[in-house]
Amino acid sequence: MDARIDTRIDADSSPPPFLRTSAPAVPPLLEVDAVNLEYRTRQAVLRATHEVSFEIAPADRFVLLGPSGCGKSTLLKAVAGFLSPTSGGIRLDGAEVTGPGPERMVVFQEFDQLLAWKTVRQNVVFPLLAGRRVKWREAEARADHYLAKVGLSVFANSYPHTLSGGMKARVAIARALAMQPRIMLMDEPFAALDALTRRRMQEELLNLWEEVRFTLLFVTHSIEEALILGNRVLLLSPHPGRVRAEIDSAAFGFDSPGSADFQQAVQRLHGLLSDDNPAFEPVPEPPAADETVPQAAQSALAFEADGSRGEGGSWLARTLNSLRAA
Amino acid sequence: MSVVQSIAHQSPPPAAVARILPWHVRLWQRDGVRRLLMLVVLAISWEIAARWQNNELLLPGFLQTAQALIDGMASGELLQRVGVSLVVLVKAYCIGVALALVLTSVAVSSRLGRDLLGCLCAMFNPLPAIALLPLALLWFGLGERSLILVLVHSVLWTLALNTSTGFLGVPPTLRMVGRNYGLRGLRFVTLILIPAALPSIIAGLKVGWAFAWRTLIAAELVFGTSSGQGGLGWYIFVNRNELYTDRVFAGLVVVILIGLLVEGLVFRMLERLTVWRWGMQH
Repeated sequence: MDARIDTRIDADSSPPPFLRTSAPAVPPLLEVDAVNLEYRTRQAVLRATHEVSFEIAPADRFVLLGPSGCGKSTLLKAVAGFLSPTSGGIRLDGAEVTGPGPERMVVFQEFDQLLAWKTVRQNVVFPLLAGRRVKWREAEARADHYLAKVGLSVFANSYPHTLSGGMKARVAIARALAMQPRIMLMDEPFAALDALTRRRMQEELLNLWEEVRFTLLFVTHSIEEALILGNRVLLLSPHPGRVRAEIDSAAFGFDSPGSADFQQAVQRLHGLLSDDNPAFEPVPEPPAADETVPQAAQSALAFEADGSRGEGGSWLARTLNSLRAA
Repeated sequence: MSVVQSIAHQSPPPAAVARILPWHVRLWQRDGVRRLLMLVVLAISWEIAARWQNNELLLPGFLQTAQALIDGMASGELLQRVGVSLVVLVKAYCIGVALALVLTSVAVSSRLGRDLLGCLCAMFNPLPAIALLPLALLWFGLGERSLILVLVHSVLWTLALNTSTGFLGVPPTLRMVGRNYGLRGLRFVTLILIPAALPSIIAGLKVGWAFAWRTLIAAELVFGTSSGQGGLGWYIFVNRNELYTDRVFAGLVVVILIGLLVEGLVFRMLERLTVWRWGMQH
């Protein structure tokens, strides 16, 4: 029995419209294949993610969604090449990822991701020249182009410490876009921003995507953010992170949050994410030689399927049941 | 409705947003003004103390010292001594800085290197440079090379310690950004770590400079004799022997002035151009 919940759905259970039912037709750009990630503390080796698999197609906006501690950031760092998986493979265009590289540009959450000793324009130009990818003139032109796209042309010669948090995030995005990476990796880039700025940044990111059509892997713990930004959302369970479900959220855009569909989807995801709801826990499968799953979590994996949880509960319970029976 | 009302009831805007403070308050805010006043007070008390003491062999007054200083400058002797001292100092300082950067760059790449550097710094940092002088004399004899050895010692460990502390303090995000760009090895150190750790490095440069300057004057006092042309310390030593106490004071004043000048001009300028401008330090 696999701990992963597949995207397969029983024929007779009627899946809600946002649940993805077909695999992407285009060959995958990024393949994450049964990845186990572990990290060391002084006392023990802890498992961050367990057998996580997914594929990202070109121009996908793929969101990793999960509560804190589900290893989503760790997973993104592994894709970026800062960590290597204990087992499993990460492949970009079919080639194994072995270390960090500029074809996978990362946008971090922290404001100190910009080089404080360079102006905004220099910050965008620097990685282009550091990788010896383009000539100086071309780098300048690209920097100006992408700074204009994020609306920061006026601040091109300012130093980062004079910018607001939202502007710093914009610079980081422009810097990543200017590199024209194969995939953009964003690690909760808007989490440290105030609510208004965050909404504006999400809108701008979507507009940028409409224009440039880059491929995006986005990590967040906000359900709303995941549904708005992503066209596909991968749900991860905490301690260790395992794939709980994949959701097709292409229908939701920036103007969706008011709609009933959206609210329903948010409610469902809340259900899926809440730890104290045993009906939504994946089927127990304590991995061999894995001491890291806490005892409490294992006992919480006891499966309980009753149809009294309304529509959202019953279709999922049915799905899980059928999977377990398989 | 209530919002509209609250706007309607708002008090009229103030006539002026900023109010200019009276001139003496603004003047007193200036660091330079306060410091200058302090210096004037000190100089006057020095002069009073000297006149009351009335023994120019032991304590020449401020005016007498100033006269000796002007004479020394005019004759060119003092300037020449300062020149000799500074040339040695700058040579040794550059060697020390280069060695410190090489050492820390090597140390940053491996854990063993880091341990080695930590160990060396812990051992040699507390060792006063001047204590190495006898050994330096034994190895290199009297002359510039002994001085340079001692001075390098006084710069190297302080700067290395500060630099490696600075490297360790570089935020992990910034390190990941550098690696994301594909930077490795020496390029990673020079393009990411050194600028990011610049506040600590400049602090180390300052402390190293102060140590080296003190060590140099002290070393020259001990053996400036045979190095052909002595430096500032030698000037002080000779004039003490000849009981030109006012020139001794003039020499000491020059030591202080150069210390202040380098700190206030060179390092202040360096900070203003770098870490202040980048908002890394205020």
